[in-house]
Amino acid sequence: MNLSKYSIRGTIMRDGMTLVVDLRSGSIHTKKDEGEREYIGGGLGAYMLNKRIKGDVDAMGPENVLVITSGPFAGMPIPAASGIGIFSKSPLTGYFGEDYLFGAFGNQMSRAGYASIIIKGVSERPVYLYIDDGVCTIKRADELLGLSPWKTEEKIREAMNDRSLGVISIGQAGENKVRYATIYGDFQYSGCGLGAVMGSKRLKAIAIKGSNDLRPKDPTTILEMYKMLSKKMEESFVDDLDWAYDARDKLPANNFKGVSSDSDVKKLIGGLKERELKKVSFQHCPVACKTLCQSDGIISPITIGGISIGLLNGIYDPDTVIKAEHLCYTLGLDPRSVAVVAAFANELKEREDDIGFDMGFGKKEELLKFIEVISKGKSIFSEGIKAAAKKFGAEDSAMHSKGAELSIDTFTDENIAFGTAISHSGSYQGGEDYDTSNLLKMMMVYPKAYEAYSKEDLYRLYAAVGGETDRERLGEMKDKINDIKREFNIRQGWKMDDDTLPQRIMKNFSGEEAFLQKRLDYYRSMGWDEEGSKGERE
Amino acid sequence: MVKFIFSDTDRCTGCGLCEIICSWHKEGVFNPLKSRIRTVRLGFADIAAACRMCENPPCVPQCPSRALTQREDGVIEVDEERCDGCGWCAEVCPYGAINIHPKKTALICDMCGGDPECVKACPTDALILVNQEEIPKYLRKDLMEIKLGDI
Repeated sequence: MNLSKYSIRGTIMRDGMTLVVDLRSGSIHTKKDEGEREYIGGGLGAYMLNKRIKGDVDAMGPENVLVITSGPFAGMPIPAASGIGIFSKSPLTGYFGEDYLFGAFGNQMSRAGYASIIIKGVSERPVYLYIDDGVCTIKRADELLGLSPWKTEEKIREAMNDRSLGVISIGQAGENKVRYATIYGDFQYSGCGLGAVMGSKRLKAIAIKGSNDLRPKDPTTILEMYKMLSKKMEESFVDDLDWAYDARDKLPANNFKGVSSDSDVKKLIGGLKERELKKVSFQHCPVACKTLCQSDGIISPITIGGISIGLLNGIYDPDTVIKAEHLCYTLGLDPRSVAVVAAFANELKEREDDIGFDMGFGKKEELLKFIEVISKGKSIFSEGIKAAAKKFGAEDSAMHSKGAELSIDTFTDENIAFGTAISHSGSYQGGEDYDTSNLLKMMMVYPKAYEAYSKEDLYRLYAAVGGETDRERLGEMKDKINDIKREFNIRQGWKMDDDTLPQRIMKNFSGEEAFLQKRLDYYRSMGWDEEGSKGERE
Repeated sequence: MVKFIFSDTDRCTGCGLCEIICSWHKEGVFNPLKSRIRTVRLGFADIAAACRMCENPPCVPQCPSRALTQREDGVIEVDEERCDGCGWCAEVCPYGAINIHPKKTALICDMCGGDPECVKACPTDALILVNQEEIPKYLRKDLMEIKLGDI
């Protein structure tokens, strides 16, 4: 291609502006902060949150903030890298809360020119934000209350007459401040109870539109790498249904007490595959990464969350699993958490505790009813597994890390289990090498693209989009982010005992002693002291 | 019959790369607003729409500035000197295949001279060249009508 006819002028990284919205006063302004300019993507979010939350603030109170940052690759033709990170003190763990969503929102945010958005305070009335390039408006959301996230998206797009808007939103569970409520966008849900933070601010949704051109420094490299990385992603990508099928001899059953039988898993996953309607992806993702399944006129994306609801609760019936995951999406609940909370309730029921629900492993209708009730926010089970376990004195049956309900891959994969134990948020999504996974997170690349990207690819792309930080400093930044998150958690009361796993997971792998040694080695590799804190590193 | 770019609903995942690639090849920037092809999700159907080069295109006679002409091969040419971006063409296009450039000119697919860049770049091979009669084979209307739920 002849590039000379285009006026490519140096680096056009986004301006790095921060949009600050105070929902209490209604004030909106933009600012630039030199300290923040050294950080990118996931690092920027961690830095900003740590700077703003110093003391022990109520995660669902007016002092907590919601920080959204866009990744350096958003808006570019770079596979599965259209990411935003959402950061806040987690109402579920009380520690550092973060998660990443990919798709239209990140692309629009990048074109709108914002590196970050900070939302402070609590609105008096339910509202949503509408950001159109440089203009941000706080709009009334009374008519959106009670709607599912996808209906909310649809209504906002209709109202603005723009189907291309990037929208993230919450459902009823977020409005009701269920501690594992999710923020939803483009068929993805966030963890860490970030939806409850939005709900506590009476913020139903954020819609964004950006119209600026993106002119990376080296578009030719980006386009070449797009082809190469897309091909690698197609070859290596495994969707959740295939992952579960391949792991079928070691998937958990009944609240992680045992292993699901091969035939049960085949029945569930095979049945889900038979009900496949279509595969979809988010913007700029070359592989169709989500499977939509259909049952009795109900359609839902099926992810590890829905599969967990089935496996952990003794339900191998694909129709119920589709209904359950659909219900989670509709109500704005994280299905991974719902799976564990319901399984915990089932175990309590099994040992004849009075939990106020008609439950039991394998009971389908009761499970669906349970999900509906907990989404109202009034049950102890809406408070998350850690709070429920305390109430029932059943800590040994509560499957969580730092209060975040465990994902089922902690049962099958020692690396994920260990990554979860040492994580700051109580969950780990990434591959075998934590360092590469942290770099992907900082650059906001979809964690499931782990196999496709090498560190070298990330550094090359970062230079091609016009990033000025060299790779050595990017490496340092990645480690510093890890320190920042740890520092945040220590201020919130983190203790070394929080970096652990329930016995049911531990005994699946090399045992507690080996775990403790591995943890110590990890702390040392991070330059932390034996108790996992930064010590003299600062 | 003249062939144009369309998407196979079964293969299109709504990734939007075609828009980015089009804006790059035609305008030298990455910006879907400057693309001559647009993706949209209707119900559960992801569709990429570009000019269908109609036999009697309603956009051409409707243009108040007489900026549009149809070539013999079906491509609708935009005279950028005349076009003032009023958007009537986009209004009357039955397929939503005309967009207005933020700097106020109509954006209409010109097939890149017969070898469209978006088709070559589509990661799921969803973009295909079809004629008007072949559309029903590739458009899943049932998917368009599906909703995710009532609330």
